[in-house]
Amino acid sequence: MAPILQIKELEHTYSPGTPFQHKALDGVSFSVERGEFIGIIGHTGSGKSTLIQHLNGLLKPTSGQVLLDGVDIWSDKKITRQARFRVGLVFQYPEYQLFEETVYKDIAFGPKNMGLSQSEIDRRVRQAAGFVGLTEKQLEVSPFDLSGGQKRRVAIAGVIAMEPEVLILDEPTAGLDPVGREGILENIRAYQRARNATIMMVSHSMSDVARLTDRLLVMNGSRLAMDGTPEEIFVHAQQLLDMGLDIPDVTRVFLRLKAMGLDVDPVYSIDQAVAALKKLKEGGHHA
Amino acid sequence: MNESICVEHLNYAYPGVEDTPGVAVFTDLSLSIEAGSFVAILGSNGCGKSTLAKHFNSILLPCGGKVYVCGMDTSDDDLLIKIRRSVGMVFQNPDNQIVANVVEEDVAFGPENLGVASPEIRRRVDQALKQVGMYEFRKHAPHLLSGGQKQRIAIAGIIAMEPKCIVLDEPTAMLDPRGRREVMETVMELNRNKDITVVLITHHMDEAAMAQRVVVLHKGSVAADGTPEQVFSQVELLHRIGLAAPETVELCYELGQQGIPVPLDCLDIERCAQAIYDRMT
Repeated sequence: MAPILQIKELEHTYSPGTPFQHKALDGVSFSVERGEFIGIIGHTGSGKSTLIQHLNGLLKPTSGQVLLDGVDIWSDKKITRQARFRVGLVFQYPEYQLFEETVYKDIAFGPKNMGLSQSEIDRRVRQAAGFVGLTEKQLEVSPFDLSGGQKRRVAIAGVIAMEPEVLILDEPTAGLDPVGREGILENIRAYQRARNATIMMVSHSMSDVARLTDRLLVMNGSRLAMDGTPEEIFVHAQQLLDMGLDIPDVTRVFLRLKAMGLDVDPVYSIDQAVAALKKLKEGGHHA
Repeated sequence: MNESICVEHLNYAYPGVEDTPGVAVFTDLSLSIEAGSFVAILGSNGCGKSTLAKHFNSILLPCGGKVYVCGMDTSDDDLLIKIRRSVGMVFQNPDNQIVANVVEEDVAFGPENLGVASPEIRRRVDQALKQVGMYEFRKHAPHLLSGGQKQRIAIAGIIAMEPKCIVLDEPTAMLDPRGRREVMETVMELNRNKDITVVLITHHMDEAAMAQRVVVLHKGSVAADGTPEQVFSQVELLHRIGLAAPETVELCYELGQQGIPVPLDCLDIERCAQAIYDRMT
């Protein structure tokens, strides 16, 4: 089966021919398999947001191609429109985009635009609300009476209700407390598992992407600087720091332990770290 | 004790709309913040952190109890200007705080409003921009800067008013790792070298760990208060109220759960690694 997304030599120049001309994407190529959970990291202005806006046709490439299921999303108007439903985009601070009278109506807005039947819309609204942990009762209240974390869930449900094959989220946990963050991340994984959806998540939290994703794309200076598993990426600690990024604190602790002479491999999450130390401890007893 | 901010039996509720009852945030909160200290305030979303911050420079006024800033009662109308001069606020989104088209004009906006004389404004703006490391960008347009740079401009705009205290409400929530480092270094520098009291509201536990004191709010009350070591070693309390400890402490805690006890007061990488090393060898 063809990759769900193929990005070929993507280039995007803002305000061409003006003094503000700026090449935000330059020669970016990669492909995405169905069901992958991909993290996108990079400093502010590295091209992350420009990149994701190309993936559902909000921005048109200056040159290069975006293929969805092997078809160029700009090859035909109908296909471009289809791409906007098949690839769902959740922007930063999406709760500012809520506008309807009730949570139900807000979530229903996307599916309604798709021209679905009333019963299908209803099914999707309830299912999407379920994915993000909103109760039946909350569907009838005004979204503006909810807390910040709940509003964000409503906004995410609004995109999930379109049942996109690829769900892209731009910093979905910014500004939330640790439990709120964990909840949203769990919601995203639930959706991924239930529909074998492909997830792409832009994040500034190195420990979140290290823990959750199968693969990381690192953007730097409008180019794709690295593409690999978290293990492969976080080995390059110094390069990441030079790019204005970071490595998870557990990774730093383990690098330090290794320097101190402990026989440990690099780790990227607390679970991995605990497992590695337990193994080392038990191994030590037998020796 | 020389107090910068003193909250005494604060009671506050957001007023209800039409017939609906208001939402009580604080019923009896007392807290004092020493002049020149660096205090981090933590708490889950909706615990009252931002509501409290807004009491620190009279954006909100107590329904009951008192808030004093440098000895001034925040509900005294006549003192409003003096209070706003004493406590500067920096918010989450730098784009909402920048008003001018040129960096130095933006920084001059505060002191201009305070009626500071022109030569003095020039001096303050230059100094403030140097303090946040943005002097070379003084002629730039703010909207073309990075998030971390914009946030430092917002901080410079506050410093130019020469406040005694700066309150920052999640100043790094929208920033990338480099931007976060830049802002945190700037804030720590101001506290150390200019003796400005810093109140930092944050969801990033590693930032709170840089403070001298951490106050944890939960449902409008103080749930924990002490040095970062004292507060973050209470991992179970933090989990119960929807928070977490810094990753270093979480690692040590998890090791303890798995039968490898490690002290929970090792916040920085070096100490955490040392504690684990000692336990493993």
